[in-house]
Amino acid sequence: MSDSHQHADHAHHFNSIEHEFEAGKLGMWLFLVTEIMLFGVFFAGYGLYMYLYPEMFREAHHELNKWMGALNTVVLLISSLTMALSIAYIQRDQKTKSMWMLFITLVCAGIFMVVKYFEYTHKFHLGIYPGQYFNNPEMSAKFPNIALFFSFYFVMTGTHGIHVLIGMFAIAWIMFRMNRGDFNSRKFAAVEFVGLYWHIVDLIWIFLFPMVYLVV
Amino acid sequence: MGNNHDKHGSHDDNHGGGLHGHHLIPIPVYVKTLLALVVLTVLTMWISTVDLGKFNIVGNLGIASLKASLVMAFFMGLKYDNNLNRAFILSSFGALAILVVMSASDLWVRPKPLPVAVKSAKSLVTKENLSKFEAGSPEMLDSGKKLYDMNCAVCHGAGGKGDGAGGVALNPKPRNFSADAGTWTFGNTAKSIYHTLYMGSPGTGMASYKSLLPEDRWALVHYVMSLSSGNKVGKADDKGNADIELELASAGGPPKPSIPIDLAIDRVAQ
Amino acid sequence: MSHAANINFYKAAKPGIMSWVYTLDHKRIGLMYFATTMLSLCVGGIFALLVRLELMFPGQQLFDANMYNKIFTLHGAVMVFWFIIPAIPGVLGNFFLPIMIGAKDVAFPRLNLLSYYLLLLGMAINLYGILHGDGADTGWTFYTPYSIKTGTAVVSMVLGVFVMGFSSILTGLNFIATVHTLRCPGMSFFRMPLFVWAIYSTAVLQVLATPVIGITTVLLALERFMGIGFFDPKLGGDPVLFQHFFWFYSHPAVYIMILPGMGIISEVITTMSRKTIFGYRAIAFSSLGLALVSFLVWGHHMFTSGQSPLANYIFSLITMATAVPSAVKMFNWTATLYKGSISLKTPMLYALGFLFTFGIGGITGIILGTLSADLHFHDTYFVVAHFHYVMMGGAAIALFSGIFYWFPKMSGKMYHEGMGQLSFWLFIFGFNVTFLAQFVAGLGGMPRRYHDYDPVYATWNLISTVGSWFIAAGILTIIVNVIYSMKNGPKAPSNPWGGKSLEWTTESPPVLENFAVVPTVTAGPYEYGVKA
Repeated sequence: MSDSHQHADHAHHFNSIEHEFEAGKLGMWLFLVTEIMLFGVFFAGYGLYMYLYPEMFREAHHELNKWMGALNTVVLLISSLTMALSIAYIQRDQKTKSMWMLFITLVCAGIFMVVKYFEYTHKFHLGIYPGQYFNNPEMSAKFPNIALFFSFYFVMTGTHGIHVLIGMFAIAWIMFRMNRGDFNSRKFAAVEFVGLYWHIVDLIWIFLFPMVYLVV
Repeated sequence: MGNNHDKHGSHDDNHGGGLHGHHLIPIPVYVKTLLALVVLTVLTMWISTVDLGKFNIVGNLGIASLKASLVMAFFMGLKYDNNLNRAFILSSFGALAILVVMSASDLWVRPKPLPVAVKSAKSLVTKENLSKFEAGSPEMLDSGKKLYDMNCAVCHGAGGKGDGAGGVALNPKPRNFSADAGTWTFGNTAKSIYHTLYMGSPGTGMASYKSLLPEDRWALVHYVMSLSSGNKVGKADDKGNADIELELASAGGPPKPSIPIDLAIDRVAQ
Repeated sequence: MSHAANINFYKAAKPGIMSWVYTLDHKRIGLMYFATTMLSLCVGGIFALLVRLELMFPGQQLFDANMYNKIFTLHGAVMVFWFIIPAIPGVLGNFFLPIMIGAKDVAFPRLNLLSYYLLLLGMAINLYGILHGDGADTGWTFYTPYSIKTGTAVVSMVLGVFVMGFSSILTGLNFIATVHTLRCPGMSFFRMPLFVWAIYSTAVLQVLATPVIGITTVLLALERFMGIGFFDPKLGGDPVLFQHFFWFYSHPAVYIMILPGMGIISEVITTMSRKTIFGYRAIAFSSLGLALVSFLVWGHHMFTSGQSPLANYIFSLITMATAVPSAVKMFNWTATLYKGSISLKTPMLYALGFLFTFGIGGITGIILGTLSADLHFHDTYFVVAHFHYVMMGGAAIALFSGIFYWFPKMSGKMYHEGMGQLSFWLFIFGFNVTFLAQFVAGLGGMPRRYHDYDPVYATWNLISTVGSWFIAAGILTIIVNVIYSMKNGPKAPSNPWGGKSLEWTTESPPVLENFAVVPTVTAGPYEYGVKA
């Protein structure tokens, strides 16, 4: 048994920091698998019903502002870039640039949530609430089950929004740790893993946007 | 996974920074990936303005998949990563595909669950037009027949002889509408039949149909009368009147319970 | 640290409850799972005894219909979510997976502890619903639309399931990462014990399938709170969609229940016949194969739910395929026994019992998977008997086999053989009496989930209830044996059975880091009769 434990930069049951990193990455990917399965159920339900009620879905989706959706898409894509760059920079020991990238990622996430806020309040204004609280008789008159579309809309974007918020906390935490000096070019696992999480959040939206906002 | 070396210094980096064996993706690659993603976003928005029928969804999903692949390959580094992580993430998409395809083999093949038109609690029957409903019309007979076939025929039989398959085990047996008027519990006038539909017949298998709208019940009344040949005798027309008064008074109010309150109280008391 | 690494793990931390509450040692976590799941078995068992007492005679004995509905629902929910799903992976997987591959711990020890606490949290949420609310009366399957309308505490039950689902997911995640990254030198995939293959296949299911029921429970809760309408026909939703989502997890879930058990049987049969397992690769691949096929057959739970005939045919046809990997294992275990030097100690008795009861369970499963037959058997006691034969006569009996097999390693003491044998005979007798009678009743058409029945089924119900008392006695004997032997059992050697896998090369109980020196493996795990 080696006696380098007082210098250990990795847990005792791993051989090296690289060993620990690779295991951690595998663990993170497995977690992302569960996230995909989680959101996948929403998409499955949505897709199954869209085939059954195409006209209703078409009519309902006009209430969604595809420009706001597109803006959010681009904002998230940019945030994915900055997230990836923050990892690229810390891998090169460029801590300041890495911090800036994390900060911009956070700002993009914030913009996303603000746009979301406006989208939601606009809907509430029109009486479009989830589930049994839906109250827009004009729309219900066209299609009695139009509330179903909006239930999906709120549940899917709502859950996604919660994941964005969680991501924001995680990124803020990473910024705090990076500022403290926890990370360098050898030791940046946490940044990488938060990055992977953030990309999945982006990925979900990449599917959500066309399926929900751009149905023709 | 290799030997048990964990001495701190044995990993002097000679790969230009970064972990031993960890691939450094050049920064321009990231930027180019973003540009590709934005272009694809514009493309998918453009496609949504063109009507390609079924191919719209295929096209949009295809572009989304391409974007997802770019994010996974370059931002998430899967292109340079080991096979295992790729295999797991692909397996999740595979599992989802199984969920959708096999559920579709059920949901898309059956007659689709049509939404029951969410009629408001407001009925069409008002004090002013009540007499029209009491009088009946060919349209009401038509609608009454549809309602009868859906709700009543199973016990009362297609011709109203009380010989439906669902009524075989019932005691007392379902009413035979051709039977003598005196044998009917409440009589066979319009209002008596209305009362029977409204309250059900306690102690028998005849449930209350308060859950139907009044106009539907009137339609059924007229259809049942058309099946009934006995002379009309009203035993409980007063009760029928009371039901109608109650309904008109609370028209447009909250949805009514589907078990008559009196019956519920009875059951609770038992 | 290196000092403590050589002391047996019980003594490697300051004594007291905190050494357990904050432990990161997979062995301690495994033991905490042991205590918890045994408790769950007792709680679920009490509900079972109550069900059987009510059904002992026609007419009402103890409970009216509504109360009865809650009791059988809780029996099912507790047994499935508090006991069977966590038990073998949580107890024996946690304790032995790292040791069997020569690792010092699982890949993510803190996540492991979190998994355990999530199980406790989920149980607590359920308990709140049971004690403060009135549990649930929907059956453990929570079918819509009744689960949306009923006034019972469905949300508590279902949110507990959500939390426990994450416990299961994180355990699976941990085990997959452990197998891929922590195998010791020389431990190739095909030198791993078959128990590890089984746990790995289970872990894949845990990670891929469990999130689906997680979201389904959330959707059910949202349906109750907000009327979102996914499953509500008034809004064009489909109640059968709930069943699709539910069973997409719950069918793989039954393989989460049985695959680890099958892994135990592979270990016990081979060691206690002192003979190399017949068809190692076939069994290894059949574990993976069974896991994969399990994703394709969930609709066989829905043959009479209004599913389209097309879906019915597809699911029935593919269900036939699930027999193949299971049969491969059954035949291979039997071939392993053939001409082996069989030791009829308690673990082997339970394993032999498994071959009998799981055989019956599996074959009746194929009968039920046959569409035309299932139209008559669905929702009868034939189904109830089938799944008890595979879950209790499969997973539970294998768990008992594993507990006795590895008891000396886990505790350093030997269990009491006489009590062990007694527990086996009580259990196997009671089990078969209880559930064979239910096959007969089901064949005769007795419906399940009914608080009363036609007197024509009375004899079989009486027999079944009496059988349940023997099951209770058997399980009680196991628990007494475990507790008694932990205190008073004679000291156990490192390798009482002469096993060849890595856990038998460690101390009994193992040292903190499992091995004094990380092993280097040069041979497979079952090389009996081969030059050492």
